[in-house]
Amino acid sequence: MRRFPLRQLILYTVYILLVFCLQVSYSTEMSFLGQIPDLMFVFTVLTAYFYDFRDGAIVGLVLGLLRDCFCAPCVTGLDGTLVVTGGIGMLVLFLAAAFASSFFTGRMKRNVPFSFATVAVATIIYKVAGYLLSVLWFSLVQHTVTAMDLADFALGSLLPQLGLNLIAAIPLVFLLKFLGPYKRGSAKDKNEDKIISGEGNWVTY
Amino acid sequence: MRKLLTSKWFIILVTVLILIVIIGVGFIPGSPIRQMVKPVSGIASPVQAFVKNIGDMVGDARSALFDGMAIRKENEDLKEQIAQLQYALTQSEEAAIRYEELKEALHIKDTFSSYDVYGAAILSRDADEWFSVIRADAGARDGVDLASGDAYAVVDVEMSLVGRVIETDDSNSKILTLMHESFRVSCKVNEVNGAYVTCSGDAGLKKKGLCLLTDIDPDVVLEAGDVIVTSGEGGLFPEGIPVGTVESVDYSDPLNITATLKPYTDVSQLKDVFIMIPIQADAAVDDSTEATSEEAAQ
Repeated sequence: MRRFPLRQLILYTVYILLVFCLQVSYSTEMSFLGQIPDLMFVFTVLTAYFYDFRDGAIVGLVLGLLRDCFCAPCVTGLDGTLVVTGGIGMLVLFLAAAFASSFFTGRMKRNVPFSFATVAVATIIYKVAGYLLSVLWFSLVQHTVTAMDLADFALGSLLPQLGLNLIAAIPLVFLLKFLGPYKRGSAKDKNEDKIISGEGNWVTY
Repeated sequence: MRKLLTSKWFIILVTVLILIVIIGVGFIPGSPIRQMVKPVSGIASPVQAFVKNIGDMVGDARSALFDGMAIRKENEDLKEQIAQLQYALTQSEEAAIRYEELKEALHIKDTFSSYDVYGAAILSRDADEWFSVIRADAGARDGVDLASGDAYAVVDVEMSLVGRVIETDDSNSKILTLMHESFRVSCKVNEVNGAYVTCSGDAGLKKKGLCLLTDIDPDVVLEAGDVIVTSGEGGLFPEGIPVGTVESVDYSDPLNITATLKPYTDVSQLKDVFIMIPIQADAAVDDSTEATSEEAAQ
């Protein structure tokens, strides 16, 4: 009989609340060059990278829900009215978890240095996709492009965000690897569950 | 079949499709999605408020420890200022009495007399440049209940424009700030027959703390330093709320003159805001009727 994952439940709950509270309460204090380290995004990516898709997806959906409740994106609808959307945060963080859990495999999986590479690539994809979507949406709805030009985006948005997310990843990697939801040396921690379950299977390990 | 159902990629596909449907339904006016997630906000809000309060207490304690000398100096300066203001106040009292007399005689209305003003503290801020709606602690229970199609102006302690309320629930309001790309407000230059312009947020200028001014008449000469206030056009915002000053004007394209505006309010430093709710016409009539009947009774 499988034991109830109390440790995982408690630690994930504490970390999710901590990351979420810091993100929405102290964004001004953490900002640099107009960008804010995206703790929720980085935490989701790292959870999926270290502890696989199932953990990452659940963390991503919960953090995404909180993100949608507290600081949802506001979008101009096709009829010109402003709408506070719901679900975009969940979608973004769920996809981030899906990506991070599949990005590195084999020996490169659950490796601390490569976790930073995963955060970097995930951040770049998120920012570029967000930029392209906002350009597309504004040109479709308002028939004007109010998004930044490409150089401004790269230097003023992408690079500072990348740097901040990588800095934010340092304490989060420490939390997940050394004070994480799985004991040091457990199958999940040592990447042995993959061998048991095989790639692509989600619910068994 | 079991293998397919437990496959990671199948689960990703199904979840993404479900989330896309949720997003789509969320765009429908009066969608039940927002009602369904309200309990989440109700559970997480106290936790977030608790963490924020701890942070504020730590900040206050640090200030008390390290800012002692600066506070003492500031205190002395403020005492001097109080003495000067006391003198100015005495001078102004007589002028105020005269103003009241003239106001009654000439039927002058106060600038925002037809608005109820509700104070609210900022609860949470933007998470990143796209997830950028901020929350304040005034909701339907406090009298801030936004009907569909309405918008309430939000101002700071100096009555400068901060943005607009875009959504309310029982205890919170969501505010779209004037730096947001989707924000637009009709403004004018604050002078007699001042030119009308449109002020909006711009993704590129947001990082520099600026807004964009468009719809500028080619015959109008706009200069750096011109004060911009809301025009009252469109009826969403009352007339005369200070927005900011013109920073620079670009005349390079005569058919599309644009300018940048430095808002008075610093959104990142906001702690408290005021929500302006128009007093309903029928309520205003009721009030005036009551006042008239009271006067008659006296």
